[in-house]
Amino acid sequence: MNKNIDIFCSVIDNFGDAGYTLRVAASLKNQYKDSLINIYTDCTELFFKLMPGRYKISENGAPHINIFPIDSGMDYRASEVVLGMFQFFPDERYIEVINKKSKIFIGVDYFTPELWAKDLKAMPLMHQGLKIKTLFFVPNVHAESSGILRFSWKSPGLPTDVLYPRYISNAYLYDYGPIEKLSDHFYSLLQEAVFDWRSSTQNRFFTQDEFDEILYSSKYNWIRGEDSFSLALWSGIPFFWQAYKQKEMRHFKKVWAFNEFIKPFFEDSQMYKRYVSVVNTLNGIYQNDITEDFLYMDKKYGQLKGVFEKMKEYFLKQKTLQQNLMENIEYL
Amino acid sequence: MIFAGELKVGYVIKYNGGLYTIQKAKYNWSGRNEATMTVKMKNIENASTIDIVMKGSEKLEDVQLDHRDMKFIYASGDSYAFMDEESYEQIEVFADDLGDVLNFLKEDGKVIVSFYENRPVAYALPKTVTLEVTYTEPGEKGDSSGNPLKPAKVETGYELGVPLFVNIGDKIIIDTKTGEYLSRA
Repeated sequence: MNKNIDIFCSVIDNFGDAGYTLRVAASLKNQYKDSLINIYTDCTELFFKLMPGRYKISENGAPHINIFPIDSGMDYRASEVVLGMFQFFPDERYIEVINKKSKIFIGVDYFTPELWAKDLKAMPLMHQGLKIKTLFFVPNVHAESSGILRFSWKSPGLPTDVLYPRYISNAYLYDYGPIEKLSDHFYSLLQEAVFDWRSSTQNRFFTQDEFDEILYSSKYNWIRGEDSFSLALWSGIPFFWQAYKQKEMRHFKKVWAFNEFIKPFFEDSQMYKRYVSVVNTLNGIYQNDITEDFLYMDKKYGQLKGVFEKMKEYFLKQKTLQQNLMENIEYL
Repeated sequence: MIFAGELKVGYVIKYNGGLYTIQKAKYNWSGRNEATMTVKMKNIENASTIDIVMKGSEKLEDVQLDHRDMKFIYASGDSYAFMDEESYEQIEVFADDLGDVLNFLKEDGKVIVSFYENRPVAYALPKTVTLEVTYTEPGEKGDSSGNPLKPAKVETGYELGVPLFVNIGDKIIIDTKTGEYLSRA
C-alpha cells in the first residue's frame, strides 16, 4: 500500500498530545515506508523539540514525518487517509478539501482502560461537515478493543536487560504530593531518580528518545497521562499511573478500571492490595501513607516485576492500535 | 440546536437529511475533560438503525415534537402497551423501539411519548426512576480495594454499580440518562 496519511492534532496542554501523536505517526511511517505522513498541528515547535532532527517541513519524498502548522497559507491538498487525534476536527476549510480528496477520516480518542471503550472500536463517527467514511477508535487495554499503540522506532527492540536498572525511580507526575508522604527510606530510593521530585517538572525537559530510554532504564516508573503510560505498558517494568485529573473526579473510574484490568496478573492478593493502595493514593482516591505498601512490594520486587512482564506478554498477543487502524486503511 | 452531549433517549434529530429518533444514548467521559456520545438511532421513515459516536460538543438540529406522559399498562410478547391517562388513548410499541427505556420500565411506570405528525416516534423516561434492588452481594463481601461500588440487579433486570451499604430489597434512585446509582430512596 502506498497511501499518504494526514494527522491533525491540537496540543491542549502538556507534552502528551504531541508525544502520542508522534508515536502514532511513527508507527504508521514504519509500516508504510513509502508513504508521506504529515502532521498538522497548532504547536509545531513542541513536535520539533520532542524529537529534534527527526522531522522537517515537507519536501518531496521525505523519509521523515512532515510537520506543518495548521493555517499555513491553506495550501492543503489532503491525503487519502486523514486522522483526527483526541476529538480534534480541522476547520471547514480543511474539511472541504478532505471531502473532495480523502477516502476516510479516522478519529483516535484519548486512552481509557474502561470497558465501555471496547464497544466503540471502528464505530462510525458523526461530524456534520464530513461527507466521507468515518471511523472512531479509543485506545484500550482489553481484548477485542481498539488496542494500544506499540512503538515502532526504538522501544520494541530496546534491550531492557542492558539498560535496566540504571535508575531506581523515574517520576514524572502531575502532582508529586502523594509521594511526599513517603518515609526517609523511600527518599533514599529516590536519590538516584532521574527527576527531582521536589522540583517542578516544568523546568525539566527531555526529548522523546531520552524519556523512553529513562523509562526503560528504571526500576520503577511513576508515570502520568497517556503517552508515558502507553510506553510503560510495554516495558515489563513496574509502574504506578497517575491519571489526568478530570472534573467531578471522573478520572477515578479510569483508575479503578485499570486496577481491575491488572488484577488477574497478580498471583499474590496482598501484593495486589498494596499496589492498588499506592495507585489510589497517587490519584487522590486514598490519602494513605504508602511507605509500608511500597516497601512490601520492593522487598518482593521480582514477584512484582513478574506481574508487569505477564502484562507485557498479554499485550504481545493482542492486536495493537496501529494494526486496527491499518486494517481499515488497507481495505480502502 | 442542541449539543450531542445533551442527547437523551427519545430525542429526535435531523442527520444527513433524515429524521432519527434516539434509542440509546451513552455519555462517555473521555480523556482530559472531553466527552463522546455513543448513540443508537432509528430513521423514522425507513426504520433503519445506526450505531454512531459523536463528540459531546457536536451541534445537532433537534426536531420539535408533541410530548405526552403515558403509563405502561402491560406487555404482550414483544409488544408493550401504554395509555394516556387523560384521554385514555392507548398505543402499542415494539421492544426494539423502546431501546434503553426497557432497562427502567416497570408496571405503571411513566414514559414520555413523543409524537411526530400524530405518530409515536420516540420514548423517554423521567430524569430519575426508583427501583427495588433484587440482587446484590452483602456489603462486607464487596471488594473495596479498587472500586467502592458493587454489582446489583434491580426489578427490571437492569444491572448497575451500587455503594457497598445497599442491600437486597432497598429502593434506589437511578439517573436514567447515565444509568448510574444516585441515592437510596
